[in-house]
Amino acid sequence: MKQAYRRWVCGLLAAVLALLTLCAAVVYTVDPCLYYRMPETWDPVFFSERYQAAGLVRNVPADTVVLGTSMVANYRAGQVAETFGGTAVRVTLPDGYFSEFDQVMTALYRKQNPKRVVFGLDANILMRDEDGGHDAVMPDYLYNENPLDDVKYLLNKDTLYYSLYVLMANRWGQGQTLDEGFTWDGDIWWNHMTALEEYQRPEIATQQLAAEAYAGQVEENLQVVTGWLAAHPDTEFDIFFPPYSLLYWDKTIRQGHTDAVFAALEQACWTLLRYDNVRLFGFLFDREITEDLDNYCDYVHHSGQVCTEILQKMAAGEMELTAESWEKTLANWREFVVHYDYDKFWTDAFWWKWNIDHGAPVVWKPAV
Amino acid sequence: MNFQSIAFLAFLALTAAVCLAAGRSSRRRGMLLLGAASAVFYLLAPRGAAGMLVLLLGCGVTKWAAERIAGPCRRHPALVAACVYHIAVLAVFKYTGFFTGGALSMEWAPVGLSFFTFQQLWYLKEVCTGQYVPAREDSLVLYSFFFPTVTSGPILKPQAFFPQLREGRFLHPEWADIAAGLYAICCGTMKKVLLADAFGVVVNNGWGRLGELSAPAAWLVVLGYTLQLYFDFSGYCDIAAGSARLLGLRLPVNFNSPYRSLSVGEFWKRWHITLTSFLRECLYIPLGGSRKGAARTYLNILVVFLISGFWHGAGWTFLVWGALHGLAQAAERAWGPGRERLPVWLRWGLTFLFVNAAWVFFRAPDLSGAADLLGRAVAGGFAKPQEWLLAGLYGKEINAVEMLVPAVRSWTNILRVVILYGVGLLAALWPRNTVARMDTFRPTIWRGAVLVAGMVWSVLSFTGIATFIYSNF
Repeated sequence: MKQAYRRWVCGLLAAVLALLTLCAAVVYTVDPCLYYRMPETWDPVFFSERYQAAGLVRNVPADTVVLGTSMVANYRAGQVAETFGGTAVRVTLPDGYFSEFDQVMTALYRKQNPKRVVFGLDANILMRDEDGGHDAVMPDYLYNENPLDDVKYLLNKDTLYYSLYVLMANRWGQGQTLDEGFTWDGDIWWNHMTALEEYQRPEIATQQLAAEAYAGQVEENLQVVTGWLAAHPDTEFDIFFPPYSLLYWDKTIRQGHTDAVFAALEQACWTLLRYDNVRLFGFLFDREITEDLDNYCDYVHHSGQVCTEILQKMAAGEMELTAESWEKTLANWREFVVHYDYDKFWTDAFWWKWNIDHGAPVVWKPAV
Repeated sequence: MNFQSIAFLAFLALTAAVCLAAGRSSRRRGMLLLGAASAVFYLLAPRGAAGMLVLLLGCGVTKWAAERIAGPCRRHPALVAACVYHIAVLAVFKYTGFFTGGALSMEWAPVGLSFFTFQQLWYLKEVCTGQYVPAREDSLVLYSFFFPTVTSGPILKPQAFFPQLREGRFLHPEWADIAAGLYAICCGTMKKVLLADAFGVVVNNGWGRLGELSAPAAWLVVLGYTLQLYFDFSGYCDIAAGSARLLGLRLPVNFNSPYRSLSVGEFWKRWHITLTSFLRECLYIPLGGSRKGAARTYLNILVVFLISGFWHGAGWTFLVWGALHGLAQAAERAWGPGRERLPVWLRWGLTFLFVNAAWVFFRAPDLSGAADLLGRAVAGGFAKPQEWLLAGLYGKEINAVEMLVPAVRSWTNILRVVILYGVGLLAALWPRNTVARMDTFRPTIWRGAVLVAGMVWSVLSFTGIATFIYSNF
């Protein structure tokens, strides 16, 4: 009987270990998160920004790295490479927090030393509290230096499922390219009607938020960025404020946040422009882009066409904020957005004229 | 370190290998190594070092008092001082916020403090009543920090622990012990990871959108929490018992199929048995038990369950939960043998319904939340349960099945509910409890195959698993 127990124990342990080893081998070989290598015999499949960003920065050689929230999701790495020369990779963390971007940057510099980092500094995340509640969770085991906890990647039913998914997707011809991975501009109708439909216009607030309301959070968030600037003086950081539509400013003004938002932007300009390896671009103040609601699908997200435009402007040095110009640019923009007639966006006559001006066929005329 | 982690399995394998090897040559050396491993286990917990200091101080107080009591006594000053100390430490760490209305609150508490406190009090009581005579070689530190029980029990009576350290099986387990231990560890892990956390998904989804629940959905949430709590805590106890058995130690049964109970009184003889025993021996009987008339008996029962509720959490919901159980047992006693004449199915149904309803208060963030859920369960309408209730339930497993067999796509929701609740109810009501089954365990290929499949699935599910509910108490 003793032998029977012994055989059973050894058999149980051996079977569990063998099956777990098999699962780990499948995940290691398929490597759905691109953590060990970029695949050569099949196309990658992109399914989770946070799970795959670590692999992208580890294994895609890049002279230029584009980093940001969903606002940079539609930049094509190929276009970036064409604009700045060399190789490029784009890494997005939708609704990303600065601590998360910091994890990505740490993983990036552990493996390579890019010449240029293009960082989309969203006004919204700049003013956000890190403790505000992360909806998504970063898999820390993919970003740290501890090789032991990689076991969480290898022995993981999610990654095992995605290994299967990658193989099936390739079988169905649904593999993706690095350029198109995580882009979503092809699925959206970029039009003022979509933008306005997705925008919930707030009631006018009775009180103004104090100018210094976000100062603490902004300082904390900027410390993360300045940490990168100081630690990597040989890298050029092209930091830009992504161009939210004018509906963002309508919202800001109606909520009484104008002073606080401009104070936060001023704080960012003042802090960042003290570093020699920074170029700061203010596309948030680009009327040409932000006033044209046909560029948008909601009050902030813009089309891939705008991404192309921004890259060209960046390469040409347009909309660049310097130590000498930023104060005047912000003051002018404040003057513009505070006095802008936002109500016209909700009148048929405006859009009737707009459509004519933009060559759309006239199929109706608003009642006057 | 969570039980449901690869780190714990590695720690357990290493500890067992080192301690058993050392124990073969010298039991004392093996015991010292087990103490060291338990210390490492505790130090790896959040704020482990600070918590360990607090608990070591508590051990010192217990030892100091036990040495002074030396034999049967009733109210020895050292005993009183030690009890006051332990209760005060627990009160400061756990109840400061409650007693100061939130004005002051401790930001942390040593891991396992509640269980530690009760175990120390039980030790003192047993020494004081002469039920247990401490031996010189007793290691109070190992008794208090024994890694399988330190975070959430079972609460060990000294005579259930120390004598084993001197007996033949300690650090000399037979292959039958190792097989039984592995069996319990696998069962416990599967209960926690595959069942408790799956029910937790439904429960959390439901509590997140209480106002939208239809009556059937509300009942799924209520029943889901009843089963989640059972599989969570009994799963933990199975892993603890299995781990201890690998080292040649036996832990007491803490759950004995409680949802089979035919009365609330019986439920408490089957649920968290070591806590009930502690409360009976250290509180109910000293209060007079049932020796001082019916009214005093009812009062004693109510006091015991109010304290039990308050021990589980510093909040009104826990007090109401305790009061409900106390009142139900008082009512059962008042009803007398008449209740026994009811059909078995009716007694079981009434008990199970009551226990389900009472758990709502245990889970609720506040009393109005509990009232809301019970209100939805009664008057939420008969619409079929909403789809969002199942969001995240076996998510990747279902995706894989749908990818491989697209034809089942329209059936996956109903299948998930039927399988989860079916398996859950079956596992809770049908088999004997795992710890009891360890004693009659016979290795078969069929059992081995089920355990291998379940354990591999569980290990693959470890990443992203929630912590044990009872580790919060």
